[in-house]
Order: sequence, then structure tokens, then C-alpha cells
Amino acid sequence: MNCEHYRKQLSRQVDIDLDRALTEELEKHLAACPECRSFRDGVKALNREFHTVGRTQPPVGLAERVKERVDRQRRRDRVLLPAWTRVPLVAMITLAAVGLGNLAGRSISSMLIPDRSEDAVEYTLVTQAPSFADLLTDNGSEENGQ
Amino acid sequence: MMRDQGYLSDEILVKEARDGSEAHFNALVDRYIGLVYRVAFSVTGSAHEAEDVVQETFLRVFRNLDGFDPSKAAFKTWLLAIARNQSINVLAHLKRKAARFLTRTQAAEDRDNAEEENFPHEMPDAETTLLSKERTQLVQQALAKLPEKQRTALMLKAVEGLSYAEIAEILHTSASAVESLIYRARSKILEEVEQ
Repeated sequence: MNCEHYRKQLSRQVDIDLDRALTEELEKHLAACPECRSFRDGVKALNREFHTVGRTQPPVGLAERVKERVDRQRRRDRVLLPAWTRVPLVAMITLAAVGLGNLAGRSISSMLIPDRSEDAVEYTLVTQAPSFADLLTDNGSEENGQ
Repeated sequence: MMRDQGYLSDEILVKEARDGSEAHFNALVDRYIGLVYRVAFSVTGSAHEAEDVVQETFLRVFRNLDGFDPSKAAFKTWLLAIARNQSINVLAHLKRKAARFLTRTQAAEDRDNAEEENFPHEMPDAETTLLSKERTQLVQQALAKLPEKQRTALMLKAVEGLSYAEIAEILHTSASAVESLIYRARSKILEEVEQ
């Protein structure tokens, strides 16, 4: 086993209780390895240091500011409609749109899906228009003749 | 009349808060504000940004409390995961906004201020007297240089005493990965400090 393996175990040992066999193995290695002893002492010192300097406290009054902000949000939510009322509302709006579309003489489906017959009319009109040759020879169709 | 909710479990506080109890939600704020603040401070390195993160985190918790599933996660780890995500977003914004060295200067200033607030010079405790201010600064600088995930894992373990499993849930990783993150973080700090 190399030192890195033991150092990983030493890092664990600072955080959790290792089983007895592993602890004995570590102790045996530490007795023979000053570098790993130094690592263990360093990790322990760091932990003490974190306990001291790491426990930063939030600024005074922050909790109150958080509560006030959440309370403002709560009041805003109360003004808005509750969630369960939104579903029928959306359904009503959709139905109203369908109804209005029908009143205007066009169904929603006709607005969304293009009508093929309109294309056909356009095509017919184009084919009935005078050709370039008709214009040159002044031989246009009845409908389009000047 | 408002009763003290501090003795109730997280599960009860969450349930009551979900049912609309302001007092129970406020008890959750009181219980976890320090923890959320320290996570935010550890990630962003700024007292000012940490304060904003705390506010956003609890607001988000309030808005999403109905979606929280206690069978999938403990409230504490769910809350800290939100706090960490918020902090990472803020950190990314800070990085985009300011030059890197400016961010570090601010972080160092904020940490100095926080340290002074919490440990006034006229009343040093036994631990602080053992550690020179220089060494403390070195540790803090080394900590600031760590990748965010390593720093957060180490702080959650060494300062907050969370289990590897809890940290794994917050960081969305495995418990063995957390062990490695913490080991690497400690090794890097010791390397920096002992140089």
C-alpha cells in the first residue's frame, strides 16, 4: 500500500469512525511514516480551524428580511387566482375563442388548416388568365379582354 | 398567539408550511438560515452575494414547497441543493461581470470583515489564539482557490458536520466521490499552506 492510500483513509478517519482493523493498519503505517503523520496532524489542525473561522453567522436582520420577502410573495399569491381555478378559466377562454370563430363564419379548424379548395380556385384563375401570346395577338379571353 | 415551533421536526414544519402556516415556514427559515448563508458564502466568497442568495433560496423554497417530495430527499439536503445552485448561478454571473482578480480581492475583503464580525479582537477564544492570522489567511486563500465542488464538500463536512451521504445528495454525486473530493481538498490546502 502506498502513502496516498493511507492518506485517504486518514482523511476519512477525521470524519467518521473507521473499523478496528483499518485503524490498526493505519497506526502501524503512521508509526513508520513521518510524512503521513504530518498529513494527519495537518488535517486535524485544518478541521479545528474550520470549526473556528468557518462558522460565519448571517448578518443581523437577514432572517427578518427573508420572512418579509416571503410574506410579500404570499400576499401576492393570495391576490392572484388559486391554481385550481386556472384550469376551468383556460377551458372557458378556449371555448370562447372557438365560439367567436364560428360566429365569424369560420371554424378554428378552417383557420388552422388551409383549405385546399382555395388553392384550386387560385389555380383555375391563373389558368384562365391570358397568355403572353394572347396579349401580343390581342386575342384574350372574354372575361379578361379589354 | 404564536407558539415556538423550534422543537418540531422538519417534516412537520414542512407539512404545516405547505398548508399555509406562516409561523411554521418562518421556523424553517430560523432553523436553516445560518447553514444556507454559510453555503452561499463558501461558494460565492462574498457576504453581499451570500445575502442575496439566502433571500432567493428561501423564496424559491416557498414557491416550490408543493413540489417537494419527502420520500425522495430530506428537506435539509433539498434546501441546500437549491442554495448551492443559486450560489453557482451568482458566481457565474460575478465571473462574467468582473475581472477575476477583482472578485478575489472582494472575496478576501468580505472574509476579513466576516471574520472580524464573528471574532472580535478584544475577545479571542483559545482556538484563535493558537492560529496566527497569517495562517488563517493562507487557509482561506487556499480554500478560495479550490474548485467549487471540493470547497463545498469540505465545508459541509468540516464545518456543518453533514454525512457523506447527505453531501452526495446535495452535490448530485456518490458518497465515495464526496470522500475523494474532501481528501483532494484537504491535500491541496495543506500543500498550499505548507509551501
